[in-house]
Amino acid sequence: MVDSDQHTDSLVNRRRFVKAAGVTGVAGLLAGCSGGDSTTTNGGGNGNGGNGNGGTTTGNQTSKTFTLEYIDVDGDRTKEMFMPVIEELNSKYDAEISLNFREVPYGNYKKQLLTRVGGGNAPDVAAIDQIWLGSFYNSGKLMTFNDIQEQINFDDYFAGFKEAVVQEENIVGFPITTDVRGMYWNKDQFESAGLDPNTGPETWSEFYDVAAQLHDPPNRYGTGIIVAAGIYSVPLFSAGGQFLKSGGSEPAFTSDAGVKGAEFIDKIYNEEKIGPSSPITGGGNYPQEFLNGTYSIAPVYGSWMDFFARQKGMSNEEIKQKYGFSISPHPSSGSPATMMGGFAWSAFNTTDRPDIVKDFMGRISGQEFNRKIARETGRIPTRKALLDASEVWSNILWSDTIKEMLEYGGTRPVNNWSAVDEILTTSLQEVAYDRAEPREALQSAADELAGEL
Amino acid sequence: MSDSEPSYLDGFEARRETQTELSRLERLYDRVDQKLPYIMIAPVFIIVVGLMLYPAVWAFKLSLYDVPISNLDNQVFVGFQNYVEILMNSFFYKVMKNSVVFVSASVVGQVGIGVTLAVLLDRGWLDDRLARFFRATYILPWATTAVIVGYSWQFLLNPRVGLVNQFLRALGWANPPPWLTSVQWAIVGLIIMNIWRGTPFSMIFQTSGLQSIQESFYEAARVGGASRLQTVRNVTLPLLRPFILMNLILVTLFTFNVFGMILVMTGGGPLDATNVLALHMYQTAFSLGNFGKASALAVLLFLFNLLTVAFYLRVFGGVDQAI
Repeated sequence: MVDSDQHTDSLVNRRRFVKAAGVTGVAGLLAGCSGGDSTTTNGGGNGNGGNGNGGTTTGNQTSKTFTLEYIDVDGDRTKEMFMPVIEELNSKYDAEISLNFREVPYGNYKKQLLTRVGGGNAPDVAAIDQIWLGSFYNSGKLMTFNDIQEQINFDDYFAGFKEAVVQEENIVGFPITTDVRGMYWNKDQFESAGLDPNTGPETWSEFYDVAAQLHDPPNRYGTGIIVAAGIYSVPLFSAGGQFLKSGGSEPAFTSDAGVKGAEFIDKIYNEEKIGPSSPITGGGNYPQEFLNGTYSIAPVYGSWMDFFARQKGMSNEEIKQKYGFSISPHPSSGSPATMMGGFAWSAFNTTDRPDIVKDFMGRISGQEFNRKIARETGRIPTRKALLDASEVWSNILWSDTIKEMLEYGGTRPVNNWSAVDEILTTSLQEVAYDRAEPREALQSAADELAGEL
Repeated sequence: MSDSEPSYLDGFEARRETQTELSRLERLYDRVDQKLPYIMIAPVFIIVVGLMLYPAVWAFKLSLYDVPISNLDNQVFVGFQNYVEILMNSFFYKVMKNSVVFVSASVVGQVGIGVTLAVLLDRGWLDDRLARFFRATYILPWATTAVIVGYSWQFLLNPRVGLVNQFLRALGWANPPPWLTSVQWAIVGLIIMNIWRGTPFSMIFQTSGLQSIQESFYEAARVGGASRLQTVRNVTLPLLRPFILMNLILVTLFTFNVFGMILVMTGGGPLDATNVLALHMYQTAFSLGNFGKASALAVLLFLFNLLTVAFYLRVFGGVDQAI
């Protein structure tokens, strides 16, 4: 039993506790009221903190401030490039428009954006890899742009890009710039092996020979190719194959051409043994490893390799001096091929100000802004009208080679790409790890994929 | 509580009786006093319910629905279909096998090395300052962020330029394993990394256990002429038993839930050789965009954790051993 004195002390402490709690509570309430005032001054909080909007449309009353949230992949495009457009919008609309420009690394991009969109917290505008457009379209939250297609001269885009951004006859985005897949090689290593540093192998058999001459493991591998469905597209296209039959509901890679494409990977890792002892299954370190001289030839890689070279502090001249670039080798019986990708601008219909967002999209997708973006980023334009714009191409490395490559370009299926990529990549890795023969692995992928399409 | 038993509230009752009239404020204090235990426990209770119980119940609810990531509002009730699909898929059993290998090896390594290091550093076999230095040094892996650990070990295990293989080559192993790019060796690389990271936790945990053992037991062993090894075997380890049990439970739960480091180091590859249950759950949610199935996997993971705890308690002779 507690004695009375002790009890009294305890009671006094509890009284202090109650008093302290009361004071804290009152202070908290006051702080809360103060916060509320601030929100009111800013135009009224709508609970939509995700895009940082200070105001919103309530009934007939349009707010005075609008923050346009723009998400882009971590790379060449910067906030400053878009500020002139924001200034134009500010002079047109009776609102204080600002830009919240946010960059996300490519590896997390799709997951982050899909989660935000799914959770009802989509940004206003986002740059989306074309192969993801199908996933975002399925959310039902992409804004459509059929009404402004003439304004931005939609027909001027190359056919493959137009197809990629049209879903069920709705234009859901506008292509920004593109990229091509080609072959890179290390000129110094070619020279030291007694090979012509300015010419890469053209056919697969030449490629196997040259890579074998350069192969000196573990210091240097003749070649190395990332084993993934996207990379496989180039040997597939050059052998005359396709991923899916027209209509996109049936796999087509089990054809002889498809098997031939998979044999290209099999030869590198298993038959010719001109690559690293374990296949490369992730692309994370691949460009750096190539640039550091781990692989003498990168037979299929994106034209953004120069981005990583510049990150290493190399100038364009140094890059061209040290590395060669051309279209990837093709089978003797096939034809040269490349695969084109790239990002598109899309907007979400959950925005508070669809009028401003659509206007913004129209302005950044116009030919002049496309010209500016391609010129300032050194990226390949997607408009036919810019094919001869010298100021655009002067910043693009190997521009003549790339212009030639564009005529051999093919694209990946947009709608079912996630399923194709996931299932086919696993099968191709089984080939690379010599756990399955190419035809058997592709058939297994096709069987699994048939249930998903 | 029976009427005859004394209660801490008796003081208040007595006080009420002796005071003819209480002021309003004092009556408020009295009421607060009576509710004080509940008031004190309320914040923790709210945190547990809000941050643990509610999400767990919500995850179970989601597991009964088809929930696409791109539109979380569009939920379709499918009953136990997600569970059936998971359990009917052979891939799940491959992932489970990987998980069991990864967890078992990691737990044995972490607890085994942790106990050994703790005993070595505790028994005065090292100079006190040296022991404190080692304890501080060993804790560093545990204090490092998981993702940084993942990236660091990815570099360390690089087959060509990684420090591990350079060391092995220096020792005369001409063709050391390609580690993370090898179907056979990737899981070994992950286990080594996880043991390296988790051992300090076990070491600190066991050190606290060792410090709770009374010196008189060791004196008695010395007087009885026990050797150091005998003392460890017959005094230290039996008295550490409850600590080892708790350590095993915690490390197993931690390891079952590891996914960040694996995501960074291998992404579950090559050929899913390192895909464990927690990573599979993450990929199902965020790569395949199927929140419903991912929630079902989360519920299964929770059940496996419960079963593991039950298994340990049974082996160690009941819940009393853990307290």
